[in-house]
Amino acid sequence: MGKLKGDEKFVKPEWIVDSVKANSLLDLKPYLLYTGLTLDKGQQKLGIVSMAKKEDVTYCENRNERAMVTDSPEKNSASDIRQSREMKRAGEDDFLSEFYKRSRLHHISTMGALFKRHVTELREKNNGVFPGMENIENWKKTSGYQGSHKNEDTVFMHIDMDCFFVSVGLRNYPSLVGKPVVVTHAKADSKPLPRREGRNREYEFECYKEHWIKKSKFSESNNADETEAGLTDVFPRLQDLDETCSMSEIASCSYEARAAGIYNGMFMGAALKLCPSLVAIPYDFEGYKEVSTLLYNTVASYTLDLEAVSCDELYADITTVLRQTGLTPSDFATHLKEVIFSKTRCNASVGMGPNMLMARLATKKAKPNGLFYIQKGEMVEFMKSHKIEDLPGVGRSMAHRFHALGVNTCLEMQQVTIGKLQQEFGQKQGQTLYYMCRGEDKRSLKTEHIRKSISADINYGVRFANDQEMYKFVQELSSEVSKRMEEIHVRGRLLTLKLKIRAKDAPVETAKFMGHGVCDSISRSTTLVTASRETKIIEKEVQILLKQLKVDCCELRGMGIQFSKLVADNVSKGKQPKQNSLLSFVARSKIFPSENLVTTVPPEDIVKTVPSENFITPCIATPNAEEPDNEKVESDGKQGDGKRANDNARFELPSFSQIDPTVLDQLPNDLKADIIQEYQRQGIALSGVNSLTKNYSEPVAGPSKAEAGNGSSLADSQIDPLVFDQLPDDLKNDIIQEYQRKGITLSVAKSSTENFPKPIAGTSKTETALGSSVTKESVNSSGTSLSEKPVSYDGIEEITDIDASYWSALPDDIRVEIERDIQQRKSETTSPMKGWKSIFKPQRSPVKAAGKILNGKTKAETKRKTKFQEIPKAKVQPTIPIPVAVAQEKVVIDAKRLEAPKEELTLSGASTLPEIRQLLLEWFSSCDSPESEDCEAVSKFLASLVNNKELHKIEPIILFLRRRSVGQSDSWKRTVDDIINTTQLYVIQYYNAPLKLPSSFL
Amino acid sequence: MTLSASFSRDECIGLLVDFLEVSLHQILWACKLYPSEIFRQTQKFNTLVYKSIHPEVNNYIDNTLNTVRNLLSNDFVEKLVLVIKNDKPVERFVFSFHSYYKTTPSGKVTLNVTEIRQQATAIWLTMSQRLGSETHYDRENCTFAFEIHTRNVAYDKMLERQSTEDFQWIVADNIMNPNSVMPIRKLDSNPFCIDVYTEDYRGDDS
Repeated sequence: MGKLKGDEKFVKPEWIVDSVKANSLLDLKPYLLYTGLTLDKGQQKLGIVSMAKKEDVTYCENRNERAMVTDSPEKNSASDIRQSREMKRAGEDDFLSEFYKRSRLHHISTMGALFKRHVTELREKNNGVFPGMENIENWKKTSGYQGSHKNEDTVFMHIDMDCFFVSVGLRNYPSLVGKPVVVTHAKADSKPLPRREGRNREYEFECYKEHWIKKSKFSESNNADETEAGLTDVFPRLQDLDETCSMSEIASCSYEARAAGIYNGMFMGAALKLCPSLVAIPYDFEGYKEVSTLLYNTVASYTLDLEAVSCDELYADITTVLRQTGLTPSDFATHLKEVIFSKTRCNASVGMGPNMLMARLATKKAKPNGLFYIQKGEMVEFMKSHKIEDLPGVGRSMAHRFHALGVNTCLEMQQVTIGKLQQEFGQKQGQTLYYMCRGEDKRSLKTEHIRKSISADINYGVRFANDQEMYKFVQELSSEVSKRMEEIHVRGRLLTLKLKIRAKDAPVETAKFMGHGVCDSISRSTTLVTASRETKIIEKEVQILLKQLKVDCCELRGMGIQFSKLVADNVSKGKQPKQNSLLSFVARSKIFPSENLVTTVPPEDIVKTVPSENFITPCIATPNAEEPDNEKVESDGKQGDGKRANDNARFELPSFSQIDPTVLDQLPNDLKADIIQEYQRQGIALSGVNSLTKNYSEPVAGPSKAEAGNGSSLADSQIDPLVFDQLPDDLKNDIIQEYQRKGITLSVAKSSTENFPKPIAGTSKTETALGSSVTKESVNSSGTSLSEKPVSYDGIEEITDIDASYWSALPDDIRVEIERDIQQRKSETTSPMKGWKSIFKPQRSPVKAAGKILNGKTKAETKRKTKFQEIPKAKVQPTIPIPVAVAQEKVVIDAKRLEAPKEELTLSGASTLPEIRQLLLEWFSSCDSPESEDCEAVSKFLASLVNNKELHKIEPIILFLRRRSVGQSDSWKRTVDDIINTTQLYVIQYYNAPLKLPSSFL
Repeated sequence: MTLSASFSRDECIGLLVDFLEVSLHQILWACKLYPSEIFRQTQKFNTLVYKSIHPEVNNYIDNTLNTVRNLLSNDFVEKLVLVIKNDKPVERFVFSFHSYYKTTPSGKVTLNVTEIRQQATAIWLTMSQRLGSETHYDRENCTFAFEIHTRNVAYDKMLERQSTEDFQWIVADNIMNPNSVMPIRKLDSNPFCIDVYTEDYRGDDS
């Protein structure tokens, strides 16, 4: 026995004898000698096969032990109950996987999608060779078909397997062929099930009815008769139900069973009453998949003009095939049916027609196991005989509405005007119906399959005892949705949570075991900031929604998570851009070598080392510059060590001593762990944390500073104003204090607190630090050293060594921000000119524009800097190349200024009205006739104000100019007029009208 | 002392709509389109403002603001305009939205509430001051209306929504170019950037 292979069976000799007697292959099972080695695949046969009862023996499989036990019927039902009790409740471990293993709908629906993808894949793989064509040639020879048919018209084919689940199931039970067979979860066992506490079928059906009536009242008349009629339409099965029969629905039934009046979707209990000899076979999901794949591959070997509908149903455009082979549609169908049967041992029905609708209707006519071809000329005649229910898309509810209109057949429907149909069923559907009842169908095969939404819903077995269970379930369901999205490479933006909550009047225990019973359905949506499929995000959002809805977890009967507004992952661009953007994010908080380092190492070297060495994870940047000297040396040493040890590391971290412990504390635990781990790996003692000094006053992300060759004053320019903006006030103060400590003018820091530490501020500070006489060289040198930094960015951006886990740990929206930022940065890095030009774009970098005019400001003026400048901070992107451009531009202007020092003016520095007035006054008094570039500067300043939609500031300036020009020479007047006119032109450009100015002054 | 607080997107929009509501009432009061009896003094941000108590006027404003709120939270609004007409437009009060929300990782924005209040107050004061000093409209013949400037997509969505609401928007006439524009002020504090100005259609009578 032990040597037996799993698939070998020993049967009693009686099997042969009995089979001969019965003149057919009898089921093996009753004759099996040794049942421990059955083909049992556990789960699949769980449904329990209870065959012919006359044999008086039923077989029950215990799936845990994978053994077959012969048993008396009594015991069978008992073990059966035990087994059904084993059905997990939502919230218990593995409920979800268990559920999906068993769920019929889940399998059917996922298979549909599966094959839609399968067809797409086949299409992609196809190299133009259709092996099926060869088959046809062979077949033509053997069967003597001519193949001289000339086919001109388009022919659609609709292939539908005959009672698919049953056919596939019967492959394992050849003995049952020809008997009434159904596929269902339950057993064909009419033994009454024991009553469960708290349920009441009749009452529940009453509830259903009431709810249905309530609903239908909105759409239909209150006529009681009609509602009653509708009820029988909608609930035709109620009458055959009683307290005890099984409520398991029949998924598929053989034609023999159909003959007995059984239909798909019927409850098993009711079906057994109609046909006591009914045999139930279990689902065989593997078999379905296998047969479906065979079916699709078979058809695909002839043509790839396919549209998958479901696992057993598809459309094909066979025009080309017919043309190539010269077969008539019917010949080809005969051939195809033969091939399908030989491959799958299942029958298919084939319908053909000039469009998809006709093909589909023809299939109905062809069933079972036949073929039918509707030619174009027969179309109208063919349609007339059809009932409206036969039309695809006309369900029970719509049929009911048609019946109310007195329309029962397609012929009657053809009499209805399109207007009436549209009025009744809506614009689009009305039109579709209008054409459909005439047999016209303009649809073409949908070869591209686009998913609109993705969801996972579970409305069975949901019974939560407490919130923990519910949240656990949410977690499982979230990961299921996430998994499904991942499978088809999409992310979703709109998350909808669908809940089924027990209706107030519904019984606590449902008629169907663990079913959802009568429920109120509610749904809530939320839009995510960016498309996502992270389980954690989904979970969090769902939890928020659940809390908002204040759901009582005990009343919950079903839950679904749906994602729509799907965004496909950009496969071609893949991960590259993302990595880049993280790098840029990291680069942003890059640490530059410290001052001390500067003194010992030539600057060029520093610039070179920067890219490879000093960028760190976001949020842990702290400026070296502020470390006490002794510590500095130490940290530098460590840094060096770390670097060496770390050369191959995927993600380079700064020396541990550079990390602000408070910041580290604030990091999410996983990030923190990663960082610490990385340090440990590098052999740096964790205790380093303790040696950290209190001096790291700049904890958060961006404001890491660069100390480049030009000295400390440049540091400011490295502060990312965006980040600085976001800092809490106390942090800002700290930073300012730090600057004060370092002897940097308070005014600068102050301007920082007021949210505009622009790059420009940095460069102009360079001047102040270097003294009032700005030389071309010094500015240039600052320019060059600055311009090297973009180079280092580039280096970083190419590195692919960012730890993917860091990236994935970031919230989606941050990633997007980073990506955007990097792109911007990149474009500006590559073309400084672009960045320069953008200065005149109002929303993006107005401050820079203002700052440009501020160029000539003196130290004193810098100090005066106040309010007005801050306006556009939000969108300013501090990018390095821009200051470079500004700095260089300035050189030119400064040169001029040196020639005529009195002409300081240009509204520079002055941003408040009094300051501007003061400046303008100085300008007026400085010389008799204005210099053209000064006019330009003023005009540009005003234009930038217009760009910036700061009309209210322009008005007083213009008025002031006018007033001042009154007593001046003609050249001044002209200049002022010019300025005003230019400004007005700008205003007109933006506002379609000039600024209204009092005319009394001129 | 500055007061800052975290606001979610909805709260930001709520604050903005509040600001718009007060502004609209303030304009109506200052324009003297209606007898001053229908206005009551009230306070907003510690400033004296006027609010209509006429139910129909208020209803009209509320409906408009509801639409604006919807558009702000779902789609896009470029401008909200209060047009004062005398057959032809006389003056238009434009609220031009450059930004009203900024996406942040936490989903919340920190507002400088003090600053926003000050700016809003300044806008209202400017409005009443400016309008109060001008010659008033011919009350008999003038009416007012609202315009929303948005994108096509948002417009389509609005049409869809309208079938379920009883407040209907119609497509505006072509808007003539004004004779002049006059700035009022700007509400400009993170994350808001809203430009308020008037477009004047009256000829230069001076």
